[in-house]
Amino acid sequence: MQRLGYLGRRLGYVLITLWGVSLLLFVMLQLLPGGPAEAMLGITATQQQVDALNQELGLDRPVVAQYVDYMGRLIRGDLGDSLVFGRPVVDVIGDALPATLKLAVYVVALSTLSTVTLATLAASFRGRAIDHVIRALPLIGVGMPGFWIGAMLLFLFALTFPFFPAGGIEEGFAGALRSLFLPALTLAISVSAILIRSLRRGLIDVLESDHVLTARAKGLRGVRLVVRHVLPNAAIPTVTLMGLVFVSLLGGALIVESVFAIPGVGQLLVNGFKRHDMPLVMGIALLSAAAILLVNLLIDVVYSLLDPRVSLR
Amino acid sequence: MPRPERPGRGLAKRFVLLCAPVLFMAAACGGGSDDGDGGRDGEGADAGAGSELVVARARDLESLNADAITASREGWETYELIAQPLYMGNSEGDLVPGVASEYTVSDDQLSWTFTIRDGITFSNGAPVTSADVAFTIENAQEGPLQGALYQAITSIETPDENTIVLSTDEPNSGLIWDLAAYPVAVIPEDFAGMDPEEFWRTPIGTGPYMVETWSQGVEVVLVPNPHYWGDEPALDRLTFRPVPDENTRMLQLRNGDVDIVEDPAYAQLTTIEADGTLDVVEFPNPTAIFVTVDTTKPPFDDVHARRAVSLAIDRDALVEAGLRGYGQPAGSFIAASAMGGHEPEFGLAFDPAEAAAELARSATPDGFTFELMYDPAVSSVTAAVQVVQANLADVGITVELNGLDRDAQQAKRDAGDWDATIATIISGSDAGGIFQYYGSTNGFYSGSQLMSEVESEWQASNSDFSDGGRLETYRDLVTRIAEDAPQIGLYSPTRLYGTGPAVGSVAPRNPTGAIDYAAVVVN
Repeated sequence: MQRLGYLGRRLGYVLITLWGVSLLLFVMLQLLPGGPAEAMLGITATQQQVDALNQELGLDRPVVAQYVDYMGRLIRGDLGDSLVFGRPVVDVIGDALPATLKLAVYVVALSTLSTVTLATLAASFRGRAIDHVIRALPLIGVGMPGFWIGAMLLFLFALTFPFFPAGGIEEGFAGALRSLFLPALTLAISVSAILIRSLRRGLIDVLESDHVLTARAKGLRGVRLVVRHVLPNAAIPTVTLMGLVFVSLLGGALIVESVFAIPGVGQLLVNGFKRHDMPLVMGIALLSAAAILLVNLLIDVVYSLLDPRVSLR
Repeated sequence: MPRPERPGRGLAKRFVLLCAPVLFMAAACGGGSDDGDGGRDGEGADAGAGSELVVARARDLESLNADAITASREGWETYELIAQPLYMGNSEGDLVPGVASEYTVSDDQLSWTFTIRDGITFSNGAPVTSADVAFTIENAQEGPLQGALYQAITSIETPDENTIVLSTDEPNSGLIWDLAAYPVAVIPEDFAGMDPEEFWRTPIGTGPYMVETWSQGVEVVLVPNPHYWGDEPALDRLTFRPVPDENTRMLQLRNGDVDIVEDPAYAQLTTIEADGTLDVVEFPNPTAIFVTVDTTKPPFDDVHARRAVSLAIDRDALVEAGLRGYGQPAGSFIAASAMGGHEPEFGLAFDPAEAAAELARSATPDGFTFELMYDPAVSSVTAAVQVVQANLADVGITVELNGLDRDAQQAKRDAGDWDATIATIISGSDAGGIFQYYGSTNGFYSGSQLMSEVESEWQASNSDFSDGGRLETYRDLVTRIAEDAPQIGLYSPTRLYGTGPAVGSVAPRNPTGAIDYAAVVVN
């Protein structure tokens, strides 16, 4: 009962936050210079043409009326039609989402693999050379911009040693695995930079904890010790971070999608801004915000289920 | 005495052994799919071996709706391969028959009668009739973006299945050029019974190709129209893919993933030229890059100040610096190729001494400072404004460069907070539309005496149906505008492509320098 009440309250907060996000976005988009009519008609459009198109798009009405109309449709689950694509925003995003989803899953997989490997190594060899090297790696990952890492990876592994295609998504599972490797690696390098430090710290704390010492005293060693007693206790903060990374990737990896020609949500968002496609930009931003808020809520609930000490209030 | 084991030391060795191979496996797993299920490598290879080409574009195909594609060159250049108007502009800037085989204009110059080409059919096999043409034009007139272009047509009659008569209230010699544009490319009556949204996803027309598949953001695949009335299209399959990053486009070309890249960056032309298997292809392009100034306030309310700027600019140096030689100097805001294919000497040629003399005659004889806005995303412009800045400094005019995107520039213009900006206009086959804009309330030079003259003389030229008569008027107007210098022509870039080894030869399809994919030669 307490849990249901908590969920109800949190869902209420989610809705209020989403409303705030929608209002903020709407105001910000109104403040942007230029407009969709000018973007669609080009420089040679006459003022009469611009006015006529604004009327056609309903953009000549007062801003408040436009917002009320938008919210009315939003409540009914209608994100409107994209001005540029002339199709429902949900359909346009739906077309782009699979590519972004595949990339996000791949990034999480690569990040998990590299984070667990390197963080465990660093924690295991704490204070030694390998630990110092691994602790320095995240600085490089954070310090190098994604577009540069992506460009270098493309140059090395698509042109010089053509193991991977230079952008795009190939068909089929194997094709996707191959073609998305470099973009996923680009993002994973940045993501792992943060996760490795987090997991290493957690592993060190747990490795020195009493229950691990007890387990070791009982003869438990190696991978079994790590998998059964260390990682589950050390990984909770890292898993939380990973969840947030995954959800934020669903909003589109703007630069990496562009560099690797991935037809995902990030590219849609960039084009939407360029073309003043307000319904599309609003749709992507709102769905991303909703995903982040709901995943946060889910994480809190899962926490309480996994760890009895965490209570939902 | 044995050294006490630190927590985790023993397991570390095992972990290295366990995890290191997994990282390698991830790459090997992906790399092992070379012989997998038809990825891009397969298509690239096919293009070299057969009659398939893959083209990489900077932007996605957003729509194929004939009205909506006006702001998207990718849109209209793809649509022109699918649907054709009554008449079409060819690469020489001349009109050639399209869906119509001939036309006549009545003695009073108010009625245009078109005869539909014998036996012509749509890609679905249905014959093209006058009812289809009438529907197309009526549909275009209702278009929110391009409809204004066709309001001059006041009645449409279809006396028989092969004849269509269009009437106007006033003589309009430029109408034939408006009818040679993509918004009136002929489509079946009532969208062939399809829902309009569905129709515009896979339009039906009379062009050499038709849409096989279109996955938004991924690719659009065209295949030959089996009922095409002209020569059999050269390609069995033509794929356009959006690749936004210019470096990635170039890598894909060098890798053979694509066969043609549109608009390679100027900085990458050296790479293409140096690669023995790649080529740079250039076609004329009716695009003019020019400076437009605020003539309502100092310093540019003074014609001598404007002329001084125009005379001080070395346009040959601009072409070299900004375009690496791939373009022509432009003395006007209308590209020479839109003026009937000639290259007249518009504008004020580079003459620093005369520029200094004009400056001395101006209200600011000791020179002046002005802000020049430009879009830093356009590499050729970024290079060109540096040359302009240096040229003008030589005669005592200081240019403060301000890189802003188009929207920010427009906001400053709307607020009246601007001196000068770099602008671009892509002309149609006929320059008349540009003059229409010039005289509009949103135009360059509102309220001036020159604008009034331009507007009235352009209107008068609509009654001129003589060969070349209208073009003479255009040239005269452009020359007078150039000498008054509210717009100062800089350069006209050529249309560029990078082509891979699969491409034998290509030719332009129309005056805008689009490739004629129906006649491309594949190695």
